[in-house]
Amino acid sequence: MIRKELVAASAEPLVLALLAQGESYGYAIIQDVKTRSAGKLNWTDGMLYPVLHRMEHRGLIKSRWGESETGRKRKYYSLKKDGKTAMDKHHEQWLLVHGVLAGLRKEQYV
Amino acid sequence: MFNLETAVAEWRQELLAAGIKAPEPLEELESHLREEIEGQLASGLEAEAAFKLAVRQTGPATALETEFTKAGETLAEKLKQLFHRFTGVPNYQLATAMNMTAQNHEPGWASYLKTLTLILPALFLWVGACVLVVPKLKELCAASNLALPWPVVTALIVSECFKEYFILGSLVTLAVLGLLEWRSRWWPRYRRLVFGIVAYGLNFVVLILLAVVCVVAVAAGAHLLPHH
Repeated sequence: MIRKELVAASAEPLVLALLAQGESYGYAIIQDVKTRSAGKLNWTDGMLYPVLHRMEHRGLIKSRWGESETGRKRKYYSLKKDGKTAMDKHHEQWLLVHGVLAGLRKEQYV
Repeated sequence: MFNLETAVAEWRQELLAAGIKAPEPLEELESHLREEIEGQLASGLEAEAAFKLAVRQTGPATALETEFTKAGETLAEKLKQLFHRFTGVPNYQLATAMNMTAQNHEPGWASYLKTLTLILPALFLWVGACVLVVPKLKELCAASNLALPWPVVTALIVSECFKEYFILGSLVTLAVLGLLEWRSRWWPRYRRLVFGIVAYGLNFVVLILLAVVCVVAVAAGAHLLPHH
């Protein structure tokens, strides 16, 4: 299981990257992340929504109410232009951290 | 016997009690909970177990509230809520929601009673103004050579029509309401919203009208004063 600080820090870049693939809604985002991480990135589901609202507040994403296939109300989120920029920035920073970490690890075994 | 609808409603009350009062997050969290429950049901769990698991997975109410408070509401959302509150709809998500269960609607008689209470004062004021104030105003205006302003003239014409066709109008309104109650499936969902907007509009118009009457009366009175 991944530590909760890391889970919290990775929520925004993950949501941005997922929404970059197209419109989605809370439940689907959570399921998608769960599947992609083989169940290791386990959010307390309800916590995603404040994150989404905060991101919407900051103008990174936008939302609209729609309906599910069964006619249930559902709030869909999609990426805005600022969100795309933010995503690229996140990506760059995570790659940097990853690069440093990987480099250090490699040196250990030389 | 476990009832899923009651359980969900109670869970919603818990969130409300924890302080998540804005309708949007509540709606969204409920929508999420229902998806979660459906997922659990599909994997073969009993309704009660599915509900409990879904609630646990969604997280404790107090923790959610803390996070939502941090996230804050957008200005647009606040304005939207303010507007709806003025029109007598305390929770517009509830008033217009698509996936509401019947028990979440305000009972029909309550909507009718509230609407009556809200529009009767406005109607009385209007009738009172037409009978008592407007004839005097006409005299005043005639004496001071002031034309009646168009809002008052329009209101008078409407009043005349209202008097003329009162019985017919009432019958038509009752028939339409009766038909909606009888046949329409979406009517219970929007009844309160429609009534709210009608009551708000009527009160608004009557207040504006009375304000115009006062201003005209003062203006006409000023004309009548002896000039020095």
